[in-house]
Amino acid sequence: MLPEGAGVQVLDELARALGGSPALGGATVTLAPAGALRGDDLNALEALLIGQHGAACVEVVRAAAIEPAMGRGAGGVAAPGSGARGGDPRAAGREGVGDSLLVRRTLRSGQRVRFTGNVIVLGDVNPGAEIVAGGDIVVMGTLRGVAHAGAGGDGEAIVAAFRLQPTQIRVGGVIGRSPDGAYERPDVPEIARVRDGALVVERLQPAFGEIAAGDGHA
Amino acid sequence: MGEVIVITSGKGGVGKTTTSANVGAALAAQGRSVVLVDADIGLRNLDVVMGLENRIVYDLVDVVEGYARVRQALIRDKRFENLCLLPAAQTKDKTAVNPDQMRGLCRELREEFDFVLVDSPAGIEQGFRNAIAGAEQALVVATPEVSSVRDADRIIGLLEAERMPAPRLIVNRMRPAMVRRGDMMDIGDIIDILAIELIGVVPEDEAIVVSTNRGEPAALLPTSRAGAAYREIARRLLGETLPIAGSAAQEATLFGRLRRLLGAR
Ligand SMILES: Nc1ncnc2c1ncn2[C@@H]1O[C@H](COP(=O)(O)OP(=O)(O)OP(=O)(O)O)[C@@H](O)[C@H]1O
Ligand SMILES: [Mg+2]
Repeated sequence: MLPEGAGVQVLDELARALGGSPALGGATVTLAPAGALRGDDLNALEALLIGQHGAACVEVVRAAAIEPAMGRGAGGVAAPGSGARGGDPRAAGREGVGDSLLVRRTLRSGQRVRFTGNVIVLGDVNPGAEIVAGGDIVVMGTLRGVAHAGAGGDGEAIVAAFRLQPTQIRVGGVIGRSPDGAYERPDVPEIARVRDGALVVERLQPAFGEIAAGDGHA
Repeated sequence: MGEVIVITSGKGGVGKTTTSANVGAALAAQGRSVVLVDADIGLRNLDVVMGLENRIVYDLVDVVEGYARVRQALIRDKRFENLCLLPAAQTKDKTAVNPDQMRGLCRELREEFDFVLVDSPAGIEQGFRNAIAGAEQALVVATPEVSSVRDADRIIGLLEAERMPAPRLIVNRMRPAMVRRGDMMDIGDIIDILAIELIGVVPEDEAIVVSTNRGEPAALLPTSRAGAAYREIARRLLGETLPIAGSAAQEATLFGRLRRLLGAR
């Protein structure tokens, strides 16, 4: 499902260069695209590098070169109501800024996405899958795996999911894990963030541009 | 031209070989021509489950290395003459074969048979790569355990990356009583995570152990519940739509899921 254009050529060449062997056994492949790289292309690259050649993960470092897929603006996932992003010189503020990577599928066990900006997943993040993002993480499905937002040290980053049942969440340097054993899992979208140095999970109520505090359960 | 279907799982010991033997026998009983390919090189097993060990002369490695023709290596089943086995080599390891050779082999076999069932080894390494190379469909076997489901998920991700059409799921060793007590994952829990089509639920059944030891697939025993489940899987592979036994729990969960989605729990 590749769009026409340069991405296809690059992909073909890469596939040819790598041949048929799982030559990348467990390696991290860093992509530093000079031009624009679409979310679709990234998915295809991941499929090639991780799926066929055994790379453990693909990371993208030149975030500025990433064009949002589906032609939408990049900033749609910024958390309303939070202040300026500290520590990240490229992000002027949290609203409408920052590069976003759209992952248009479910991340399954063993699959990792690392990205310097925000990561949006249109699908689930299954147990054993991992997302590491410099900015925010939004999962339009069930987050069961590991999510590390604000991986560059941004303590203002958030992790939001349609259903938040993560194995572990990290925001900046703060780590939160799921309770051991069975626990109640609310059937509502939730958001995790750091407040007073601790990770809190709250019901996501974005309707009025403000995220209500006070009815959090963790 | 026949269909090439790989039976795989990630985790070991969940029932890939049992499934290959039983689905193969059930398809043969339905009158289709079937070849079972044991791709678990170095840990040959399928021949024992089929009770054909004593007939092996040549194996898969002999064929890909050109020491024997496919026809010479194929072993005809005792019960069905439209069922054959291509045994794995026991004395070599999986590096003795590469994905290109497997692709060629499967291409040749599908000319002759309606179904080519490839029994994959556990793991995600070369043996798995070989097993899936020539296949255009996959059946993923998982038991209702967290670790097995996790490995199945990993496998499904790898199959998706290979552009294989959506694999279908077999849940094996299901124990309804344990599910009812809440001590075992139910079908809904598993489907929630794996999000692929379910093609069968095989109960835990002592008849499997007995029949495996005797080299007689349980799918041929009218009294075995697991055998019945395998016969149904074969019919679904042939395009029939049958309700999945033991899926009352699944329906309940689907409704539960719908309710949850509608926010009404
Ligand atoms: N439904 C079942 N009920 C009872 N026992 C079963 C069932 N399915 C499989 N078994 C038993 O589980 C064991 C492992 O099964 P099998 O050899 O088919 O697994 P496998 O996935 O092929 O293993 P490997 O990864 O080693 O190739 C066998 O002893 C078999 O008899
Ligand atoms: Mg086996």
